[in-house]
Amino acid sequence: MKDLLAARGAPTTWGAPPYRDQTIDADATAVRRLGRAGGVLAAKLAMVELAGGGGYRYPSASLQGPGRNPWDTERWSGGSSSGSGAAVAAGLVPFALGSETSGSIGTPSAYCGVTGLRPTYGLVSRHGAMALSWTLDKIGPMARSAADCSIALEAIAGPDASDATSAGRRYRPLDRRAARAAPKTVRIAFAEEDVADHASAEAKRALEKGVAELRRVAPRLVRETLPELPYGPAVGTVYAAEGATIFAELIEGPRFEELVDARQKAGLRASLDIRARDYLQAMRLRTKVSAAFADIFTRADVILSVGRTITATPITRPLDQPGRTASNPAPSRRPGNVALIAAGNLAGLPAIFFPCGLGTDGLPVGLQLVGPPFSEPLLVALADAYQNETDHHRRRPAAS
Amino acid sequence: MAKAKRRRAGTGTERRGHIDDPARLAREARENVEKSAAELRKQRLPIATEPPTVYRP
Repeated sequence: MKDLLAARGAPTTWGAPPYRDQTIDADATAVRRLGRAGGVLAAKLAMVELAGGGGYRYPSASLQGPGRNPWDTERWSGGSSSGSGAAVAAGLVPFALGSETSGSIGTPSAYCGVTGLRPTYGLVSRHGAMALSWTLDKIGPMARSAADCSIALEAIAGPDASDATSAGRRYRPLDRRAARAAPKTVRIAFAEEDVADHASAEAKRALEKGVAELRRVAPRLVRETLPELPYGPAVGTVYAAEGATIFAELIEGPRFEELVDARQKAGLRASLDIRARDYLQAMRLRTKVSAAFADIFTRADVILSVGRTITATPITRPLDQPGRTASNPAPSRRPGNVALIAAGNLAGLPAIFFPCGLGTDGLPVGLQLVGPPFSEPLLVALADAYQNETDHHRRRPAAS
Repeated sequence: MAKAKRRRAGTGTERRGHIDDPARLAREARENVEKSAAELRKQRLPIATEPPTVYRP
């Protein structure tokens, strides 16, 4: 599991040097539930320090060093659930727990070619997990298939009196008949520019092929796009303000300089001064974002987009240098739904990320499906149907 | 020629050092906060729009 979750008897470093000797003498709720379901804790997995809430520059922003991608160890495994993605892709564990504030399950799932499930906010207890953002953090499984994600999610989801934000809901997969029927009737919102305008040269062909394959499994694609809103600034303002408040004592204390990444340190310091007015405006915008999704979901059941527009980047490349990001597309390109990760997290929506092939550089690329709150059973059924007709999720990097 | 190559390599290293300069990073981080704030303030929201809340007495 990601080293952001507490497990009795094991260090819990949160990937950050100031916490290198931290032990928490209790199990996180998700850990306790997995144990009760027969799970065995094999390893605590590396992560970006403090889940990267200050905005880090280098993949090496971790106590454990850069997350290396099993497909090419000179490439990054993604963040902040770096070790969770790498360990599943390398076949070291059948599944791992990750967490997502905005993109931290999706990015490593896409870069490492594994299936990741970001649950609806509140479906999985955050008790015993490091908080970066009280209103955005979600714990979810990363595995070799949608079916395996489903098994892990069923074990960890459910009400928890220890987490005030627990939704009090459980997860059960669709029964076989409903799961078989779902792909034929489901309406999938898609904007072709997500691939046509935004995919990198390396990723484009595999993404186009992935969309075509999904269309054969679930043929009812409809065009829908999110309204143009500042999704990136909103989600960044929320987690930066909440994260800086959570870690204010560290930021103003003597051990802060031990953090690895200089940009992250600068970002955390600056975030202490985010104004209440701006934080609350970002929170109010979340209400508008949720309404926009609700409107789309009157005409579509789920939204399809790319997992990431690019393949895994070199571990030496600064992450803020490749230029435009998904949540901040170039003005000359149609925005489509390429900000879906930021938007979906603002609205607390579930998503499933699944591989759809290899780019021309031999690195994995993947797609994502986002649905209304608590639509995990449908998302799993769709990804499972896709994986029953394809073998991308079965591909493994060469052993080295 | 070799000297010119060495000079170019040195420039790359210096540039990386420069982008990681703490004073520059601090300034950029403050600018990012302000830039995001400006983007958010451009949004006109109806006065009745409330933030989602988890507070329950």
